[in-house]
Amino acid sequence: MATLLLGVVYFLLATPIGWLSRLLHDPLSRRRSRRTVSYWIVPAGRADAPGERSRATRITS
Amino acid sequence: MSELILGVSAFYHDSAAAIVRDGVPVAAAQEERFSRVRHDSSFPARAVGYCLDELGVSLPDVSAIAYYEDPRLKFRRVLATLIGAAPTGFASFRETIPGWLGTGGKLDALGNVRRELASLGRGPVPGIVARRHHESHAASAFFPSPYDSAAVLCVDGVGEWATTTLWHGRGTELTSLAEIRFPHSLGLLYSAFTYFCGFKVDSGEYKLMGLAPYGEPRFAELILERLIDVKPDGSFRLNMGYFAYLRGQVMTGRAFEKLFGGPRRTAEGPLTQREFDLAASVQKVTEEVMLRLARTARDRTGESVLCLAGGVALNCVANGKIVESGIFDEVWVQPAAGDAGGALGAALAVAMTNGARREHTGRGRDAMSGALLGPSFTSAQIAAYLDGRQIPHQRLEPGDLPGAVAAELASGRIVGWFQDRMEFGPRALGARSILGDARDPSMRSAMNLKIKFRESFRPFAPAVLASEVKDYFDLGQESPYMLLVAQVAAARQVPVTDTGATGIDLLRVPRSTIPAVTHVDGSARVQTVTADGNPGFHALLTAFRERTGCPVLVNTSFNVRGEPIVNSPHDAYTCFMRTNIDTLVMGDFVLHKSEQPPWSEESDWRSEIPLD
Repeated sequence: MATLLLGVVYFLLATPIGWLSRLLHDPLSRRRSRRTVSYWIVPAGRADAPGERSRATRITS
Repeated sequence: MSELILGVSAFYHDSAAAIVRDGVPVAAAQEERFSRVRHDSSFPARAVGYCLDELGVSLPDVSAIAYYEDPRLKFRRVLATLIGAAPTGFASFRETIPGWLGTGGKLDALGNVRRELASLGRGPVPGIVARRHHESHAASAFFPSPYDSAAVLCVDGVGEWATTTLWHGRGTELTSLAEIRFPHSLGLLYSAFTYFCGFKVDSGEYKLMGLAPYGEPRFAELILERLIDVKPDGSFRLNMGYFAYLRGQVMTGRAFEKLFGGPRRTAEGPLTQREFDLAASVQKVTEEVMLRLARTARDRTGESVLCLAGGVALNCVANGKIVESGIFDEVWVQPAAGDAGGALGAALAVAMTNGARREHTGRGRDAMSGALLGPSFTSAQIAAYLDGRQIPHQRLEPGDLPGAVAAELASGRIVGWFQDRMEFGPRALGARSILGDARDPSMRSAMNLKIKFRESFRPFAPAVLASEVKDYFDLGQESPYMLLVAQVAAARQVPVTDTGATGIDLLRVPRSTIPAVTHVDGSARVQTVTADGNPGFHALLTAFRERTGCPVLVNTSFNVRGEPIVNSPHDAYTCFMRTNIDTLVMGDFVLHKSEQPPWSEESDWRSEIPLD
């Protein structure tokens, strides 16, 4: 039963989303480019972005 | 009033707990040492209990619990990966998703931590704080380091999204500068070759590193052409067409097999020249990437010292290449560089956020206490164990112990050395060690086959008095945590005659005056020992040097293959009796094998310890 439910979710929901996202962009940045100078990502806008001190997220208390 | 932060890493591999007091690590241990399950991934209940007991506190005395990664962010990565692989990854989806969802699922890791802590009966559970996986690594690398400021590089398989991160550490702050994200991972590239060569992922990577010197890196160019695109600044992307970990529970697929001439080696199958060459090749590529990353770290931060953490920082050959390159004046590697160290890093990160200071840097020393952060046993406790079981032993005066043990070692005996607090991290550093004479050409095979029961290709590591390291090794800095490889000094090398040996037989060819710790390429994984870092072990090495003129001993972990390093006197005595260790030294107590009663067990213990 669980496998059937997971199959429904996977093939009717995850698969179309996966196809669509791969059509529109490169969600896992799989493409390589000889012309690209660097693959580094600057984590801008995050709590631990350059110049900003990282902060803890209090999840429970 | 001191502030205590308890760090926890759990539910993946190498679960651990650590406590920091006002930003200083005071207790830390991996759960495997208590549960006796290697790389134990379960909640580290016993490690937490030990940390609390070590300080004589309970949970209400702790200001916060720090968890080593963000489970929600990690789940988003898992989900994105599974969706990205659809429709080819249903088997992986079916196996993975149920483990994340529902009560007790990994998505509720923080709730699970809360429930597990509450079940310990140690009082109300304080607030739980999640830090990102690589932030925990970076904090473990920089905050306990001896530097006021440093470049920080973290390289591992994967946590949430990041697989490689570059940071700038200054004072009590860490600034994230750049990162590389999953699925592109140097750690997973190395693990893919580990898997392909028939070793266990997240466990056998160090075996692949040990195998590399037997081979020629004839596949290195192929790896760089087909598998990984490395830019001059060290950033990289993998060609995912060759890897299977996006869509399944294995690392490599048919394309990988086609590229490297056939299917993967089966576990425990014969090692062939192909595995030697694959190991040499991926090791060479890893070193090249690490060197480029180190240069970028230097350029981006302007710092002259580097701190390293993450599983790839356990690749001590690559670490040694960074030191040798001179890119940095000095390199410091967190001794628990893998995920166990995440518990410590998360706790340190929270402590610094809460205003802790790093006073140890003023003393020019790191804050790791020689990584001796685990349990210790008093003479009374050891005596109670020995007397309770009527185990024959002698007790020596503490001042007589180094000389007596040095004499045993000099006469060729193999000694189990159980002293002080247990090490935190994967290396035995002279607290839970098996020791031998590094000058003895037969020591390596004796230890491999009669003591450790492990593969004969694996080399042993030397512990050397720090004051004499340059006489024996080409190493320009200290290596207290056995995480740097260096060449044996030319003055200690001996001419190698062409014996016609190939493959693993090369290890039998003496290459130096300390053959038991010299690998086939003339290298050694060095541990430097100081009186500050480990006074008892330093006294033993000094006594051995006085007796023999040699300040070097073989130092390998006190365990057999597949078993965690021993923790308690019982663990040590059991390992002593199961193996051909000649002498066991626990505290001031000396036990000789020849005086022990016959050892018997109901079943074959070797069948009960899974191979690593």
